[in-house]
Amino acid sequence: MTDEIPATDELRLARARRGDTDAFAALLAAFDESHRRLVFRLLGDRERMDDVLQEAYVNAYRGLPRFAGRSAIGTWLYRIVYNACLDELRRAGRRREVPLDEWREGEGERMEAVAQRLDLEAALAALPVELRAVVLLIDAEGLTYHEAADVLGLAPGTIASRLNRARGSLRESLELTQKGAPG
Amino acid sequence: MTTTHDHELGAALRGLEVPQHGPEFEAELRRRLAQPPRRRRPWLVAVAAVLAVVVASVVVPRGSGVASAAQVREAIGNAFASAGTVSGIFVNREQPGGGASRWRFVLSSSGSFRITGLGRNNPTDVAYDAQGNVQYGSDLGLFTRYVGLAPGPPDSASSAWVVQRGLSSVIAALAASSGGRVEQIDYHGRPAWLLRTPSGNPGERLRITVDRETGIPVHYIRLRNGRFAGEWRIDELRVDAQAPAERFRLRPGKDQSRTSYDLGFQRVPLAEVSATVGYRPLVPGWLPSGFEQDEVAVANDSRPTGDEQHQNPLSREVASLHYRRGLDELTITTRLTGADPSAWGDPVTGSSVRAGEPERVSLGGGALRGKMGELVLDPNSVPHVWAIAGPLVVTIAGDLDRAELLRVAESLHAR
Repeated sequence: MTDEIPATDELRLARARRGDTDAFAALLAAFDESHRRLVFRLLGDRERMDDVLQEAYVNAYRGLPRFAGRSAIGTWLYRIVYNACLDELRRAGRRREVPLDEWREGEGERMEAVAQRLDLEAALAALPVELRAVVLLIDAEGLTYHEAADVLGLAPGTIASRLNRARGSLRESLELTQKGAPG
Repeated sequence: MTTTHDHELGAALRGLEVPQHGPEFEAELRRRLAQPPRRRRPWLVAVAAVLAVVVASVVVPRGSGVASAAQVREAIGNAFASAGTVSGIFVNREQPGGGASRWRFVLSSSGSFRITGLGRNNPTDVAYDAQGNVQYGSDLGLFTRYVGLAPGPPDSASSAWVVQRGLSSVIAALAASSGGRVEQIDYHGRPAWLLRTPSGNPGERLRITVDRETGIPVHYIRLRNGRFAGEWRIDELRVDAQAPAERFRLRPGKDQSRTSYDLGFQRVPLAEVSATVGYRPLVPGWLPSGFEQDEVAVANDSRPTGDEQHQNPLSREVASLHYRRGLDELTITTRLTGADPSAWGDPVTGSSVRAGEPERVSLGGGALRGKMGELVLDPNSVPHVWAIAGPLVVTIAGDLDRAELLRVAESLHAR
């Protein structure tokens, strides 16, 4: 991801700010798959994914006048989408399957067992939401530590440490899956 | 800090299934984007919210579920985007076959209101001038004037109590309940929606009729265990009728005795709060999108909170921060516990009848980190959280859902 808005997105953004919903929809189209991936992997449910993205996109549209351009439009959208996810998770009372504060080395053993018997998808789902979000944003979507920190409201150093923990768990599962794959 | 990407893991993550949107997603999104944005108008929260809650419910197509809290909020803004006043005659009946009381009312987007009893046995006249923060009351030979009103709960704030008695319970009821269905009907020859929904109180259900043209509820029936338990309706409804400022002020009659009360609150800039109350006020580091600070008030002494069953100690050194988002309101207050923190009960609800027990919550951030609080989402009370933090009693009360209340509570920090 770059901090510069491509010319076409810049144009769409300017039009969207003037109330052009088509331009806003076109602007979203470039990010929608990434948003779907992030939200689906955080919530695990397609209908809730749609509900959250509806809410996030409407909030983003209404918030365009306040978008000052200090961050990339993509980062700004991720932040809105991620916050909408947190709200939804909290509303549902299941923000964390494993509280992050309790997810220490001892949990690694549990994760190892998970990794051994389940694939990447399940290993990802077993991570605390905060770790899932970090690895998805950085490795799947290509954000920098600073951009991810901006989205998640964390310090870049925290991002790096969480990323290491998430990668460690997912790597095991990925390698096991690859070893076990036919051919 | 240099970013490193695990490209192999990234590719694997991108290779996982990503569901497509449902078939209605784009059409629904475009419909919502096309709706006019909220205009920030400080309505009387009770009436505004109930109207909007009902409107939000009826925008859900027939046969679908109840509107989500987000949809309700969205509808609050949309329903009142173009209205400056709502007026009419509020007709209330508490008992089956009993007589009805009638009140002419006008509610202004400035926050001012006027409620006048109709009929020989209903001489009460109440007006609130939001600009001057003065409430007037006239009842036979007595004329009262209230100044120094608090911005919001749990302290004494202006109240369109006649209308609230009927309407505010609906807000809380719909916020605390789930389920319900909507059908299209004719109401006195006009197209309307009929919403049937639980109230949130055990055994209680509501039937709310909404005029489709204006989006305003015109009839409300409460049933308890299937039997009539009260109703109200709005006759002669008008939207955006002229309401001159003078209508929100009363003058005493020649023969009336005059009484004046000062409830002790004064509006101050946020920066001056600590100099008045002697501690740094708690301000939110996070607010739901669109909320803005509306006013700040302080009181060195204020009436005790709570109710007849459990009256809290006298409120001392109260700081009350009030925020608005269009029709939504949020009030954050702090006050000294005094010598005995254990003497305090819920300042907002007191010990009034509750449909359920408050939820004990562990607060995980900000000035309240590590404190236990009580979260109350109840059809009989404004949604709120309260906690004791060191020498302070803290309340967060307003038109927020569970997640928002907790997030605001956990974002409070001393300023």
